[in-house]
Amino acid sequence: MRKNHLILFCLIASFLAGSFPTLAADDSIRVKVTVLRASNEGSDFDFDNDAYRDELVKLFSYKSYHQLDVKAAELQKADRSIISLPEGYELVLTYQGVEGERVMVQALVRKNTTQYVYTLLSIQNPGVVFVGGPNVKDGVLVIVLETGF
Amino acid sequence: MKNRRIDDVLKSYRGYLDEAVHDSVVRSRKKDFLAAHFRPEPFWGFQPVFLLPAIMLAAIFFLFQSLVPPRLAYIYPQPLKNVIASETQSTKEHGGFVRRFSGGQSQSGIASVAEPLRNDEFNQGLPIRVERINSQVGPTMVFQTNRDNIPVTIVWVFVGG
Repeated sequence: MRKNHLILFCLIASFLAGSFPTLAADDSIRVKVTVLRASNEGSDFDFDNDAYRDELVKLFSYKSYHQLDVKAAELQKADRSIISLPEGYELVLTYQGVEGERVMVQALVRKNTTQYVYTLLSIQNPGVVFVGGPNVKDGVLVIVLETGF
Repeated sequence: MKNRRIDDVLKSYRGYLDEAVHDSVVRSRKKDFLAAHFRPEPFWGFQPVFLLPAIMLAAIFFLFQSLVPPRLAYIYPQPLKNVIASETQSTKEHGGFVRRFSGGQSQSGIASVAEPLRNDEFNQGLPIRVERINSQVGPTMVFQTNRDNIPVTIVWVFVGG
């Protein structure tokens, strides 16, 4: 009987050990947030990741892009992460879990109590989303949200 | 005999009145008096005796237009057809798809419920799906394209409308 109990215990322990990393991976995701200021003044392209340069030029009509900040964050499931943006704006990210092969991320850009953009994204990792439009001095904010990197 | 004399007196009296009323001077003065103190007579079609029944008939006509045979339906003012802008509208310049949403609630400080997007086939197949979007400051736009096999999604808010 004791031998049977021991075998059963080992089986359960190995099952849990095998599934634990999966559960842990589902409980958090890594995101990278790049904050840019797009404007029509000047013609600078001042940011680290040149991979966005071509995309920004093709997609937007602004003449210059200036990188204001880059942050990496690990989002815990159902936990809000608040990232400070220039001029009183905030980016609130909430990881809502996994649905199939997609991660659900809620992104909110706000200033004080005003919601500028609220969106719920379903991303097949890896993915890049540009969120923009809030006005700042001499331009507009463009937030580049990368997941699954 | 007596009645005949009375009739003659009345006849001459009526003749006298008739001449007095239809005298040209009296008629022109009457016309001037009416013009000075009263508005001109409306067009006969707009006189109450014709206008009110016409309005009533028109009201009955429109209220019960469903009773009119279809072949006569053209005589009714047709309601404007609802123009539903397609949610996905190709943009030749970028080769992507744009969806516009009118969002933009008043700044009441109360979080407004994000509008769920229609779960259409277009949205289903994308590597990045925008499930919900909303803004309190203006309309929003979702632009999605595929550049060199890299899915690009832009979520934009037009501050101030």
